[in-house]
Amino acid sequence: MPPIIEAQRLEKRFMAKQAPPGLLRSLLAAARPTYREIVAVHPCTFAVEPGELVAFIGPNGAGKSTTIKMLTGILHPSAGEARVLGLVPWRDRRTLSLNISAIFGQKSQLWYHLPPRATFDLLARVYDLSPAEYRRRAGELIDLFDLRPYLHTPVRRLSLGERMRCEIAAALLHRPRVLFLDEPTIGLDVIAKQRIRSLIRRLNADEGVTVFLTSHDAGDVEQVCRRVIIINHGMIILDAPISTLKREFLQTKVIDLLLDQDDQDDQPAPDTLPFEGVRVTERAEARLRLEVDTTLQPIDRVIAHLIARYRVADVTIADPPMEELIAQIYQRRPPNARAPESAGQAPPLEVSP
Amino acid sequence: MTATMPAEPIDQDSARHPATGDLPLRRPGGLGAAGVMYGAIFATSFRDQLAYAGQLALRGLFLAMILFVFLQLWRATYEAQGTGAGGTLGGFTIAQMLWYLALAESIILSRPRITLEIDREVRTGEIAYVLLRPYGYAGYRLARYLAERLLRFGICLALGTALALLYVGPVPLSPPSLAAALVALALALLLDFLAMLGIGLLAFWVEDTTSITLLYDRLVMLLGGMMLPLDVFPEPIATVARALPFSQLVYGPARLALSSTPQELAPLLLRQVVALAVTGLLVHRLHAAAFHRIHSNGG
Repeated sequence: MPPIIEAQRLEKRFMAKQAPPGLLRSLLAAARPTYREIVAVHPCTFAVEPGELVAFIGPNGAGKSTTIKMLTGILHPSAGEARVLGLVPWRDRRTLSLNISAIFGQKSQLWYHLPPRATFDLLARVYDLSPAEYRRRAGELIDLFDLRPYLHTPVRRLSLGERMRCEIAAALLHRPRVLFLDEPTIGLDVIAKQRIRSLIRRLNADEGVTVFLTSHDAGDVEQVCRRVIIINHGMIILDAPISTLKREFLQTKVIDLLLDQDDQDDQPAPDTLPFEGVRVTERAEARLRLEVDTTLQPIDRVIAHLIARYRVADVTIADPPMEELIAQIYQRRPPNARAPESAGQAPPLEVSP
Repeated sequence: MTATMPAEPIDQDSARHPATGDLPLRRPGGLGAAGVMYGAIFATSFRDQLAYAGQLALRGLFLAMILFVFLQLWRATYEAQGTGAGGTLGGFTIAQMLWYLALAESIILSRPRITLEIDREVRTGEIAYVLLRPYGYAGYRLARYLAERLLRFGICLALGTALALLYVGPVPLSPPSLAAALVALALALLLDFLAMLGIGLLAFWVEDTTSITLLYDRLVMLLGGMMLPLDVFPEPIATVARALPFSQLVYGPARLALSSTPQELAPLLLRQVVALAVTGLLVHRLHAAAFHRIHSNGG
């Protein structure tokens, strides 16, 4: 079976107007603007098989959203080729749109003053669903996403989590074969994130929807996807199963602690902890940041130790930032693959599945 | 394009993808399906507008105030001109003048701010959701524009008619002229839409289209004949204003509605059709260039 998404040396450049400092220079620039070429996506090549759950990740400005916009036909590439379901997205945008869907976490497709049901009704007409087909599909999605309690509540009165569930249900109404998700859990609380992730997994299992996800949240990547493609400056630096990413790169967790030190009797934040694999990376008055190698030390043991000895005002546990992950990947790549500009398409890191 | 991918032939006439077999690849439907689709956008937009009941009420209040102020001003003007009862200015009695203003103000007050909406969609990247659908951007915008404009125009016209009746009573109206005015009004609304769409699409090139919108709005108000009919403009301004397309948006349909015969329709229609053809061609080119130029805003 051929890939459902194919990109071959897909590239996007655009010209950005320069804003020089100072009033005089700004006035001169208004009369005679200068432009600089921005490479949003360096030539990149990859393929996604039908039914895959792929995370397409990278740091800010890596070109993730731009790639999604090219694959959905919103943007024309500067060079290269792409096919989604065998169609050239920017040439066959309308036909493709009948078969794919996308969610942009920071933008809404729902009508703000109307209840979600109004958007569903509209999309049923837009995608030419028969009344019976619409009733059946809407019923399935309303039950799956548990939307019944606020189906008739104006969108402006919904919480972000409720709205996001409605957004995804709306995107799935026409049974798309490929779902592009751009930061689908941004701004959501932990419970809402978990719910969205499990719903996406279930859709993939039940309906075989191919998922192409970008996110800054390592939780989305780990819990939803089975394969990860990491892009940096538009170049693919890792293409591997999630299990490999977890085993070889996501071995650390970062614990941020805020200690309650109102009383003089309170102990100061420690410089070290008596655990193998735990390192204090930052220490400032009541704040403490620890890096825990989870292969050597269970995270709950470290937390239990800290809570037993200190009064903890706040604690967060996170994955290391994407930049750190990328630095780790670069450290493990052969030296001739580290210069993106000279390499054109950087060979991804070879990893065992 | 620098590289060529092995072609995956798509049988566009088939309902299924040749590779996966189970894919419901379809062409977007024909005219009937398009009608249903844009009709649904129109209906949803119309419903959405009803959420702005407060704004609609304010527009009505504003219209009542304007008409009252204009009535006083025109009364004073007619008296100063010594025209007496039943006298005319530019061919209008004072009652006709107020009815003209009720129509002209209804046309102006019903104008949606679509240039700013397009501007916002481009800047925030929300346009992405529109482009993900199987409809055209211009068609989508037209459906939304018509819903908003017709609702507002209907309310303003009903209120304007009631106020004109209250302030000056009825004026003789000819059904053929009213029918002709309706045709001219339909073309005027379309022409106004094309101009606003064109200005909105400039957001793909300029950072902010507010200033261009402001300029266009003022030209429509001043040279379109919103505050007074072009017949009372001094020469040669009246001739210039009549020749410009702005007069076809406001003055033309409002004047025609109050005419005793629809004989002014033919020249007005001719000018409107020419303006529509020229604006339509320009906007079509602009639209094609804008969507080719589109690049990611906001990541």
